[in-house]
Amino acid sequence: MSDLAENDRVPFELKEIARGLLLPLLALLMVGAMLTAMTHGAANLTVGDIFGIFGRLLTAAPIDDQVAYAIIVEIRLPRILLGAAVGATLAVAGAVLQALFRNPLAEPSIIGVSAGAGAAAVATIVLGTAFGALGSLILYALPVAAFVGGFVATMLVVAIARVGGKTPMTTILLSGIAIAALGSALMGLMMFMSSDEQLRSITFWMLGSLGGATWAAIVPALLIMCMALLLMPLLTHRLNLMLLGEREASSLGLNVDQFKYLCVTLVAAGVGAAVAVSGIIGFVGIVVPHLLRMIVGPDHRILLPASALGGATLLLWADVIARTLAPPAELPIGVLTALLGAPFFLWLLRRTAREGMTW
Amino acid sequence: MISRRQALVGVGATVSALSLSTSPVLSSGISAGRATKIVSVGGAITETLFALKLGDRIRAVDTTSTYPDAANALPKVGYLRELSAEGVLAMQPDLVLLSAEAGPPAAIAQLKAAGIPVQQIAIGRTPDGVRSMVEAIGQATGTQNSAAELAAQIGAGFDSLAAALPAEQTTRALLLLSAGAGPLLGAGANTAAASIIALGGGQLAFPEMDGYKAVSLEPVLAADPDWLLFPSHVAMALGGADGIAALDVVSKTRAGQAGRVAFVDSHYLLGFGPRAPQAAADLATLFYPDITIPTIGRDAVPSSLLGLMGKQ
Amino acid sequence: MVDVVTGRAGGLTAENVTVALGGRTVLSGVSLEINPGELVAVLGPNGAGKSTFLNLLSGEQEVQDGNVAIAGEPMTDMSVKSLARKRALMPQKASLAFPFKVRDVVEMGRDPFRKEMTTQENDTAIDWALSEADIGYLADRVYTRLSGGEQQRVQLARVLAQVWRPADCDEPRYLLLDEPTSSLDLAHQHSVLHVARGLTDQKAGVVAVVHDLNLAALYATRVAVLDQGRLVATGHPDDVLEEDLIARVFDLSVHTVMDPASGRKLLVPNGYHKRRSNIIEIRKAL
Repeated sequence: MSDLAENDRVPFELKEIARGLLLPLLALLMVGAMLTAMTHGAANLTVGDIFGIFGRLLTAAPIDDQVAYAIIVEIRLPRILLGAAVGATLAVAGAVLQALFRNPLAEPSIIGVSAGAGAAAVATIVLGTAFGALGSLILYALPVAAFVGGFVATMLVVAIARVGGKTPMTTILLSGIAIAALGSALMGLMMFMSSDEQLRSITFWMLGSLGGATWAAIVPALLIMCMALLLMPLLTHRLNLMLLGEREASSLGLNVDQFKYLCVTLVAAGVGAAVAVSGIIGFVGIVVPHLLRMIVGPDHRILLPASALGGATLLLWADVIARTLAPPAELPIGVLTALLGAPFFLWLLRRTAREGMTW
Repeated sequence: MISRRQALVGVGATVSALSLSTSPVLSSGISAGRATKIVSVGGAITETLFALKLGDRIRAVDTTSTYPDAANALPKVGYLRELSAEGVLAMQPDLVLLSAEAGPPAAIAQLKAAGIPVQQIAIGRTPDGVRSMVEAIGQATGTQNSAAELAAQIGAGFDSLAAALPAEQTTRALLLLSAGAGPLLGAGANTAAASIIALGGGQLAFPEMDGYKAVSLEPVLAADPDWLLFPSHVAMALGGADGIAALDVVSKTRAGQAGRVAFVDSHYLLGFGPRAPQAAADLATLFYPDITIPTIGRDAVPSSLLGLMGKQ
Repeated sequence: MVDVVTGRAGGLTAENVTVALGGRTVLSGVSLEINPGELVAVLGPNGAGKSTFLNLLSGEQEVQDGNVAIAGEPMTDMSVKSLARKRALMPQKASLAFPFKVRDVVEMGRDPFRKEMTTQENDTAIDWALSEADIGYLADRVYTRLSGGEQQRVQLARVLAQVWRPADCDEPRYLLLDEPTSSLDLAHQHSVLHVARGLTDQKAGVVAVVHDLNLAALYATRVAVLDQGRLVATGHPDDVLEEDLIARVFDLSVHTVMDPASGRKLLVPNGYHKRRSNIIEIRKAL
């Protein structure tokens, strides 16, 4: 027994005390990312400029540098809030789904959200001009359509998977695959019908970007995402129970089917809102929770908040790089999340494989 | 804790910013008078500014603004359809002229919300359209007189070309684009290509087709166009003259085998800027080699046809 | 026995239950009542319907025909949550594949009482469960790194935690164990049933599906023998576990021996002896 005990005692990197510090540390990292995002961009604004603008805002002094104000308050600030919210939501959604499916490969797109949102968005871009003066209304029509599409697709997936009052996770998976295929087909059809211009818009939308973050666009999305995130504490204990096994969770008093619907609905709403405003951003939903689970363990009481903070931080950093690597062009953020997430993930995977942990 | 006053100010600033950004207007209507730090987005607009001798008042341009050479030397703010609002604002402009094709809409909204004069200029694909564009730019920059003169010249150019064209315009042309990997896209009706081909006295190989659609060898053979046109950026992407020559639609069609394949500078041909009459005339020269087409343009600039395959 | 909480009479009761699964009748007209203070061992050969019966008692298997109730309240009327507060089920195979700490796993057994009881009470429950299942020394270890037997004891601790009540609590509760000894070494096989039997002194009723007849005889207050979906015998182990019945139901010839040390009846197999006819052989003969 003592031979095993040495290298087997809680094989996570941190000791008890350090684990208590983990969440504050992540929070600090996120704040750091926000500050970095605020101070970097295509325009060269000094930290002094930024504090100056905020100072004048708070003291109601007149703002003479209109352009700096526009950049900080109209462009960077909403973008940062959106980036943090989207990153947090995608990561938490991934963690929730990984628990429901009891599988580290689960992520938001397998329940059909991205496919539905994508199909609806592409349809809006292509058919939108057919509806005459959609013109600048496209700013609002597109996010609304994407959200509705994502939500409807997910509800469809669950409805299809429901057999005799029960909804097995494997059936949800298969149903999700089918709906995703349908969504892809619809997107392909729309893209065929599209003009050169529309095709470009579609491509850029699908690569994901936080560039559409105007206040008007993000406020509804932020509300939905924050609502989904604030309901997290409700889920933590029950997600732990689900990991025991559905039978065991049920015998411990969890109404398993109801809980699945609750989780899927929250994921659909949150991710739908995220995709609606920022397009399809991959990797955050699968890598962040998995990575953090390797570090903090499977207990969702820590994992969910950690995922939220980690996801927000990753996305904010990715966005900073996207905006500053080749100014004034902005790289598609999905590319960057993959570039940042994948190598780190591989390193951690190798490390823990050596220590004998699989999950 | 933020005091109530500060909170109100914060809310007020947000609300006013919101209201600014939620009133999308095509033209801000603010006359910029003697703007000296212009950001010009759209090749045709930049060309017009230079033609109006306003080149030294341009601060930055987008990546589609490649003519004249001086424009290439100016700082860039990104691609026409995927602008970064911050990138534009970083130039501290006092006037932003945007082609109506500029995007994305969110970035345009952010620019307008920043309070600087932003004017969207419609790009017309007809002689009248080009003249309106020139006049609108003149209006926006306070150079109405020069603009009127330039517009008149452009009008005259189109008129003289139209007069020189034969009565029966039967030459059919097909302009091809490449969308990366995958089939070639042919230009149908309601495209810039359709308009310039028509102005050059030609007809579309696929007049019933709307927009750019994928075309394979079979329909092209059936349509049997007289001329194949490739924009220069497409020609480069496909591997230059050799790459083009290897394409099925070139090696197996009558036009391709006879060498009636032309590469034309993309912005020159499809941009509908001040050189539009000359571009149309160049096409007419290809289509109707037996007719004398007048050389149009103030400086009688030689045509920007980059390449002509074969023994034409 | 009257339930002090509901005032109703009755323990964990199955009344004339019949269950058909996949076209086959698994249980037929089985009636059994388990009261707090009893440890009932459910015995029977494979396919007798033991697991299905246990699932019925735990509420996992839907009642098709007949009635299952706790203290007179039908199980179909109970919410999942209230059921969790009345009974705990330890399934045969645990499916936990995540690196939780052992203590966290046991803590999940207290989930039905997370809000109803204080942290101190829940901690007491967990500590008690850890010591009863003899895994106190494993509390900080990672579940997935343990041996099969150790993991099974962790699951036992979890369900023990679920049935723990403060000393002054009079509520009857039930512990259902589905083959709890399968991966355990000899010592722990006995300690599990010893712990379960100890629970019966604390207002709990235990139902355990076991294979080892002697183990059942040693620890059960009552045995219930199922054969092909029917309840063929129920009563004190000494009365029920007779050579004829065992030969008939289990297809095994045994003789009973009185253990002079404990005074208990032990069953000693005579070796394998085919009593029931082989259908194929009959066909061949015809």
